[in-house]
Amino acid sequence: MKKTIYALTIIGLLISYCSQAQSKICGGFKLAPNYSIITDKVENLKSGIGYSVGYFEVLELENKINLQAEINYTNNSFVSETNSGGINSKTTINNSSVELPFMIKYRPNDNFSIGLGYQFSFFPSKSEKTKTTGQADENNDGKGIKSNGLFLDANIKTNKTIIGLRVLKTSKSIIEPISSINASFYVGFALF
Amino acid sequence: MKKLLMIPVAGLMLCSCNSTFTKTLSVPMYSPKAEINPIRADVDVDMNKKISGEAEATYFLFFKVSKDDNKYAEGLKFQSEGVGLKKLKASAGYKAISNSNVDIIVHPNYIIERHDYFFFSSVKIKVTGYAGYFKKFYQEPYNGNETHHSKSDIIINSAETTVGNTTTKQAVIKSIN
Repeated sequence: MKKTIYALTIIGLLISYCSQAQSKICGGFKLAPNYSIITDKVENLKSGIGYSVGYFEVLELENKINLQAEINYTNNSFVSETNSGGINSKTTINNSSVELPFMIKYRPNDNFSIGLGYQFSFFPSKSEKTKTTGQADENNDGKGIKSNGLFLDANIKTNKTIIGLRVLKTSKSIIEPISSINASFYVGFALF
Repeated sequence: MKKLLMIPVAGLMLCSCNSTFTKTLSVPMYSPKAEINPIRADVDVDMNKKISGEAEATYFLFFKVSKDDNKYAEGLKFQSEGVGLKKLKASAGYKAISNSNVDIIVHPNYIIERHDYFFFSSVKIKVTGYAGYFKKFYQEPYNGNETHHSKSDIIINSAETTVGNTTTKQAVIKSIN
């Protein structure tokens, strides 16, 4: 809660500080496959391909600053495989949540921008599906982990299409206690 | 982590703060009130000269993103609207008057262009009107009557009519024009 207040205060102050007469507002839908880079040494755990779908809006200010806000539904996937006594067990973990990322970006030219942001995560849910040879599948659903955290974002804009890369470091690891960084490649289509 | 976050917050707060200290004389115990006679003016309207001014504002959620215009035309009267929209209209009015060196805008028309999105919203106001120049001022002399003029320049008196046991009160509204 305190971190959220701090983050909101910083965003508000930065917006007030960067405020200028506006240039234009554009927005649309985006689609992003994501992959988690596991930073700890773990042998039997690897990242699966997750996805994110959402809506974005960009305010391009006159002083080469962009303000961007999004609402996304994101799914992160992990796969854990074990083999003990000839019995293979494969567990797929999916963590989903609704995310609200806000960012401030620097725009050196009309086509490229790079920036920093913070994302808030809501309604997390987690599902675990275990497949063991010779046994029935086992499903466990529960409360997921909120993926609040800081991220770096860079994108290229061409006419109505935005292609970008985002690297997110969540404040709480999705697969505790193993730490990971989430990287997503996104394609956005501007509607206005 | 908390301390690290507090450093940029404190820095930005210090950069953003501005304080103004204004000294005013205290109001004396006895303050005579002067009633000023109504002033009328002749206005020369230039029908060939149309003037215009624009002002705009952008909002991100509840934060105002665009920088405030810090000059407003005082005395422009609007319908009951939000404070932000009133200020924006006054700013557009100021720009129209100051850019064209006129005294007043005659028959001002406001075009309000509003775009509401999910996170951002923008309002753009354009005022257009005819250029008006004051030619001469007149002051109505005081005629000795203690009649109070209302803001809308009408005089309201009440008249009583009695028919049998029923007394009817009726408001009589007269324009001073």
